[in-house]
Amino acid sequence: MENRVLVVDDEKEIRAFLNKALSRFGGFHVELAESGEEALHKLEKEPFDLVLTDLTMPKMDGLRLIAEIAKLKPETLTIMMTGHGSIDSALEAMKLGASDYIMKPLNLDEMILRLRKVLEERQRFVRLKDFADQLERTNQELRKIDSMKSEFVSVASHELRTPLAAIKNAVQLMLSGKTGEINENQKKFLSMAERNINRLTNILNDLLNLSRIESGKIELKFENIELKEIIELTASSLRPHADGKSIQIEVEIPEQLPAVYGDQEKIEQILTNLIGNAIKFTRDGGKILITAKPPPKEKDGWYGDRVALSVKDNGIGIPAEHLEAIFEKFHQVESSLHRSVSGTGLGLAITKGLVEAHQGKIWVQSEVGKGSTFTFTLPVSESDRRDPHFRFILDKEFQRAQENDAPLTLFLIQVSDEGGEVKETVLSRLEENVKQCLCRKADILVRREKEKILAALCEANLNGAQVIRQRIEEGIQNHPLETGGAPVLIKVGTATYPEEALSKEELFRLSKKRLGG
Amino acid sequence: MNPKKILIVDDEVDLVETIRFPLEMEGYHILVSYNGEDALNQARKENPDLILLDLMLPKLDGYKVCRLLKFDDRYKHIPILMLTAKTQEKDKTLGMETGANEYITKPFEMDDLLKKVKAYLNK
Repeated sequence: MENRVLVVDDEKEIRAFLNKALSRFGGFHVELAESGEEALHKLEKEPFDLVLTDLTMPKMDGLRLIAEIAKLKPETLTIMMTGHGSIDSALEAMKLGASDYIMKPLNLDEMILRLRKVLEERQRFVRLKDFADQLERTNQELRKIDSMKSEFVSVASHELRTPLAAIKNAVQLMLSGKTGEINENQKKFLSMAERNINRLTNILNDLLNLSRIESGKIELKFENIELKEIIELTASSLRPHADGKSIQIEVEIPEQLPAVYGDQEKIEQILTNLIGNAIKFTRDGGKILITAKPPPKEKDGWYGDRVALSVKDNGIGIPAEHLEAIFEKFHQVESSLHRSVSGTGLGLAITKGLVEAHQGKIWVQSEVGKGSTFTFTLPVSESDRRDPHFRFILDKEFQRAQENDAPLTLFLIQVSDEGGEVKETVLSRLEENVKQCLCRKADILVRREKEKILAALCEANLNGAQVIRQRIEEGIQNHPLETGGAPVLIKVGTATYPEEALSKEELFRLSKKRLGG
Repeated sequence: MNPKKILIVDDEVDLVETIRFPLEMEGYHILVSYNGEDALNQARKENPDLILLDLMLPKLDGYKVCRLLKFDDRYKHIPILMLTAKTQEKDKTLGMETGANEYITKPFEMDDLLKKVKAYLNK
C-alpha cells in the first residue's frame, strides 16, 4: 500500500519539487499544504502516515505544527526540514514528537531513505503493538477461563460431597452388620466399595486443594514453628504404614535448628505427602531418612534465610526423563513395582504449591534403582525481626491471661481516606504491619476489603490488650502507609470478652460501632 | 429414663435416612427437619439433647439456626454438630464462631460420628 505523505512548505518551488521527487522516486502518495493551518485542516479530513514540514513558515511554524500533530494525531509521523545552522530547532522538534529531521539543502536519496526508514519502523511498531494487544486479550481470556475452572472444581466437589456421604454411610451401615448379617462375599465387595469411596473422596479433596492453591485462595495461618516436633510427629504417624513394608523411618535433626515461619497444618501435609510417597516407592525392608539443614552461615547462600528439609529414600527412583514433570499435576511414573500404587497424581503438585505458598522451593534428586531425595525450603521465623522486648511483654501477658481464664480481645483497625478509594494494597501492607505487632496467640481474624477493616483477635486481658493496642498504633505511625498522596486515617478499636459474652461476629459489630467515636 | 432426643437437620432425604438408622439403633429418639426454619421451630418446641446440623439449607441457613439457638439462654446448652459439604477453612471458622460444638465435613466416618454424638450426650 502506498504511504500517504503530506508536504508542508510555504515556498511553492520546494512543494513542487518534493511532490515530483517523492511520488516519482519514492513511490509515495503526496499531498501538499502551504501552511501549518492548511496541513491541520487536511489532517482533520483524511489520514496521513507522515508529515514532512518546513521549519520557518508565516503564522504557524513547523515546531508548533509538530506539537499540534503530536497532540491531535499522535499516530501520524512527523519529520522536520531545517536549514543548516538551526540544529537546535531540529532537536526541539524531536523533543516535541518528530521522528526525524532533514537538513537543507535537501539530498533526494537521503531524504527518501529516511522517510522509508521512519515508516518501516512505525510499521514494525504497529505490528508489535497489535501482537501485544492480542497477547493481552488472550491472557485475559485465559485468566477468566482459569478462574472459571477453579470455580467449577470448587462447586463440583461440594456438590459431590453430599451424595458421596450418603453412599458411604449406606455402605458402612451394611458393613457394620447393623442392617443384618452379611456373608464373606458381600463383605468383600462392600469393602471394595468403601475403599473406592474413600479414594474418590481423596481425589475430591486433592482437586479442591489444588484449585485453591492455583487460584491463590489458599488460607495459610502463619506462626512460628519448631520443626523438630512436627517432623517427629508426622514420622510417627506414618510409621505403622512403613512397618507394614518393614521400612525404617529415621529422623536426624540438628539441635540448633531455627524456628520457621509457616502454617503448621500445611507443613505437616507437605511432610506427609513426601514421606507417604517415599513409603509407596520403596521396596520392603528399605529405609527413609528425614534431615534438616539450618540456613547457611554466609547469607549469600542461594536459599538465604531458609531451612532446608530433605526426605531421602532408597527406593526405586525416578527415571531422568520424568524428573522435570514430576511436580506437574496428574503426572505419574509407570513402574512395574507399583502397578497397584493408586494415587490421585496430584500429591506432588499440591506439595509444590504448598511449599511455594511459604515462599519456599522444592526439588528432587533421584537415580533409578538407588532412590530419591526430595528437598524443600521454608523461611526462618521472623521473630528476630520483631522487637524482642515487646515480644517478651506480650508473651507474658498472654500467659497471664491464659492462667486467668483469658478474655478475648478483638482489635479493629479501619482505614479511610478523604473521599478517594483506599487501595487494596494499603490494607495488605497494614496487615503486614499489624502482623508484626501480634504474637502467635493472636491472628488476623477478618479482613473486610469493602469496609477497609482489619480485625485481629488476641487472647489477652485488659492490660495486655492495652499494650497491643499501643503497639499497633505505634507500628502504624512508624511505618506510614504510602497511599499515593491521599491522607489515610486509621482508627483502632477494641472490644473485650467476657465483658459482653458474645460471638466474634457480635464482637466485630460492637467494635465497629465503637470505631465511629 | 426417656431416650435422648436428637434433631437431624439436612435437606437431603437419603443422607438423613443413613444417619437416622444407626442412631435409632443406638436407642436415640430421632427428630428430623428438612429446612432451617422448621429446624429452629422444632428445636425450640422439642428442646432436643443434640442437633446434627447441615449448613446449606432452604429457608434459613445452618449458621443462622446455630446462632439463634446458641445466643438464646434457653437453648445454648444444646450441643450442635455441624455436618457440611463446606470444607473451606473460613467456613469452619464461621461455623465455630456461631457457636457450633463440632464442625464435621462430608463425607465422614459413621463410627466417628456415633462416638462424638455419644460423647456429647454423656457430658
